[in-house]
Amino acid sequence: MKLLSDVSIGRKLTFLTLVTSSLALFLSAAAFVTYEVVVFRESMVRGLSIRAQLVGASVAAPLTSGDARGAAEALAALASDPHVLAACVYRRNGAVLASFTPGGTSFPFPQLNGTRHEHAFSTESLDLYQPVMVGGQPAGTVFLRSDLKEMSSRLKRYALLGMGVFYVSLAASLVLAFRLQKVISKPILGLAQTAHSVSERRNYGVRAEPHGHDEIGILVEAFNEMLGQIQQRDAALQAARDELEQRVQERTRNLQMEIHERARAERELRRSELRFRSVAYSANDLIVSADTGGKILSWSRGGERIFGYSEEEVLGQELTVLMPERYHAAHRAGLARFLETYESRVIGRTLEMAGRRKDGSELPIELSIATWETEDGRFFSGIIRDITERKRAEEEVRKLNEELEERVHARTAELEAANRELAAFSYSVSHDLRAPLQTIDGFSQALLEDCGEQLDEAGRDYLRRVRAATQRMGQLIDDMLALSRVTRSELKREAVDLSEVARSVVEELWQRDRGRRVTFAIQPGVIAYGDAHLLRIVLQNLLGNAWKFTGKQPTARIEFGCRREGGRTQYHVKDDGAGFDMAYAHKLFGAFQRLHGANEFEGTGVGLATVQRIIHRHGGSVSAQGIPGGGATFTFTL
Amino acid sequence: MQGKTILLVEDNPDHEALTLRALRKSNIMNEIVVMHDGQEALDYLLMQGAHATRVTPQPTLILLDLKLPRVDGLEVLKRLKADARTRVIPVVILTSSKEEHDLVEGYSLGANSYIRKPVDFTQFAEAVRNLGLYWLVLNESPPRPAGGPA
Repeated sequence: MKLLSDVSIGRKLTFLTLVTSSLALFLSAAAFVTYEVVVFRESMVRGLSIRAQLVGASVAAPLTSGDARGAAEALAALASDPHVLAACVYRRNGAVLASFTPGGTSFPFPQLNGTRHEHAFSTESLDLYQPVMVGGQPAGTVFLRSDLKEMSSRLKRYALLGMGVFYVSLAASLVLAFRLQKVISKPILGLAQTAHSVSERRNYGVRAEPHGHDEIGILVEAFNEMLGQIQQRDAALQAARDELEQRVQERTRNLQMEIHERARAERELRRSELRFRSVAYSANDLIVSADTGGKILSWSRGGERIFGYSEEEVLGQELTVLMPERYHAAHRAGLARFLETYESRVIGRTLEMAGRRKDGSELPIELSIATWETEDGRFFSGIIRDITERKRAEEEVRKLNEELEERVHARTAELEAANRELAAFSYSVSHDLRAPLQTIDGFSQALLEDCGEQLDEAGRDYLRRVRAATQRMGQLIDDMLALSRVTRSELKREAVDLSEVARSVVEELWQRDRGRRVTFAIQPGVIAYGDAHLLRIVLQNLLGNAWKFTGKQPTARIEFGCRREGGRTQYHVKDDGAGFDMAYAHKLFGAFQRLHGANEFEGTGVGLATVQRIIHRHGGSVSAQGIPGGGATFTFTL
Repeated sequence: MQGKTILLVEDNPDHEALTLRALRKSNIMNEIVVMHDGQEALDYLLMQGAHATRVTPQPTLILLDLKLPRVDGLEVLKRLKADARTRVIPVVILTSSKEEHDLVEGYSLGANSYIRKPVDFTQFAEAVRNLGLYWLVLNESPPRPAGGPA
C-alpha cells in the first residue's frame, strides 16, 4: 500500500478499479473452469463407463466361453476411438482374457483379483474397471484406459476464452474507471490545486470550484469556508503584524538612538573614567574611597608615598588607620552622625589635620571629603595631601615675615628718630643760624644809621657789602630749609587746578615788578593730581625762573600748559629768555648748582633741586631743554 | 601812651638791643620790660617765683620770641592764654623761624600777630614799629581790673 501513497488519486482510483474488477473476473473464471472440469470429468467417466458396458456386452459371450479370439475381436472395435489407450478383459479369476492396444503395443495390465468396479484419474489418463455381468453374475471385468486429451483441449479453449474475456473486460473497466474516477478525483484535484496555490502563494482570496452536494461538495464548501476564515484571520493577522512591525520599527529606532546615546555616554564615561583613573593613579595626593562603614575601597598610588601603606595592605581596613588615636572617636561619631542626619562639619570642605603613617609617625595633611550615592549605596571619597612641605614653607614665610616686620619696625624707628633729629636740626638751623646773621645785619644797619657820617664812602661801602652778604646767607638758609621741608612733609594727593595756581603765582610776580612787559599764556583747565602745596612750590620756582631769566630783555613770553604723550600728561613751562647750554643740563637740578653768575641773575641754585625733589616724590620726572639766548622749556610729569 | 608797658621776651642780647633800638627809632617811648627766658617771663606775668611780689601793672603788649631757653615761646603762650590774668594781653610772636607749624600753632594758641625776624633789619624795624603802633594806639585794650589811668 505504501507503494501507492505517492501516486495521484486518479491513478489510485483507476488502479483500485482495475484490481477489483480483475479479481472478480479471475474468481468467476476460476469457478467456471472448475465447474467445467468437474462436469467434464463426470461425463468422461460416464461416457467411458457406457463404452465399457458396451464392450462388456460384446465380450460377455466369449468370456463365458473363454473364447479369447472372440473377445479380442470385440475389443478391436475400440480402435475407432482414438482416445482409448489400452483395454483388456479379465476373467473372473483376474486373468487377462484378451487385450487391446492401438497399434498392438504391449501394455502392462495390472493384476486383478476377482472383479472391480471403479475408476481412477491419473495425470494423463483415466482408468476404468467395469464388471461384466452375465445372468446377473459377474463373469469378468473390462478395463479401459482413456487419455485426457479431450479434456485438456477443452480446458485450453476455456483458458483462451477466459483470457479473451478477461482482457476485454479489463480494457472496458479501464476505460470506465478512467472516466469514472474523474468524477471523484477532479473536484478533489481542484481542491488540492487550490490548497496548493493557497499554500504556495499565500493567497487566501482564491476559492475552490463549487460542486454538488455529495461529500466532496461538502468538503469543498468546508474548505472554502475555512479559506474565508483563514483569509479573515490572515487579514487580521496581517494588520496586527503591520502594526507590530511599525511598533517594532519605532521601538528599534528608539532603541538605536538609545543605544547610540548610551554608547556615546559610555565612551564619554570611559574617557572620563580613564582620565580620572590616570589622574588618581598618578596624583601625588592620595585619592581614597570608603563605604559607609568607613572601610577603604580604593587607594591611589599617592597613598603609598604619603602613608607608607600599599593598596593590598589597606583595602578593607578602616579609615582610622590613617589617623592618630585621638581622632578615632570623633571620626566614628561624625560618620555615624552623618549617616543619620546627612549633616557634616567635614564634607565639602577642605581642612587641615594630622595623619598617621604606617610607622606611627604623624604628618600634617590637607583633607577634602566628598560623598556620593550610587545604585550600590553611599560612598565617600577623600583627597589627602601631604602638606609637610607647605607647612614648613609657611612656617618659614611666617618667620621671615616676623623678622622682616621686626626689621621694618626697627628701621622705621631709626628713620623716625633720624627724621625727628633732622626736624630738630632744621628748626635749630632756622633759628640759630639766622640769629647771628640778624645780629650782623642789624648792627651793620645800626652802624650805618647811627655812625654813617663818621665813616668815609669806602667804609660805608664795606658795611653795605657786609649787609648784602648777610642777607644772601639768610636767603640760602631759607631755601635750604624749604628744600628739606619738601623732603620731610607728608604728601597729600588731591585734584589741583594747576592753571589756577599758575595764575596766582603770576600775580605775585607782577606784584614784585610792575614795570615788566611780559606776556603770559596759561592753558586753562589743567588739572593734576598731587599735593597742592608742593605743586605750588614747583610752579613758583619754574615760573619764577622764567620771569627771572627773561628779566634782561624788553619783552618776554612765558607759557604754561600740558599735553598727553605716551599715556601720561606732560606739563611744561616755556620762556624765550636767556636759556642755557645743554652741555650743562645735567647740572641744572643739583642743589646749589648755578649756570649763571650771581651778578648776572640772582639766585641760590636750590629752586630746581626743590622742583625735582617734589616731582620725584610724586613719582614723576622733570627735564629741561634750552638754547643759550633762545629760551628754556621745563617739562614734567606727575 | 604813657603808663603802658611792653614786655619783650628775648634771650638773644643782640636781638634785644636791636629790637629795643627799632622800637625807639619808631618813637615808641613806652616802658619796655625784658625777660630773657620763658620761665622768667611766666614768673613775671603770673606774678610768681622771683616776681611774686610785683606790683607794677600788667604789660599792654607782649613781644614773644619762640625759641627760648627753659620754657619755649609756644609753651609760654599756652600758659598765658590758660590764665585769666594774662589771657587778654595781646601777644605778638617774633621769630627767625620760617617753620609753618610754629605760625599755625602760635595762632591756634591765641597769638594776635606774628612778625618774622628778617635778616634785613630795616624790614624788621619797620614791622615792629607798625605792630607796636597798632597794638598800643589803634587797638584799645580792655579796661584793667585795677582801674589804672586810661
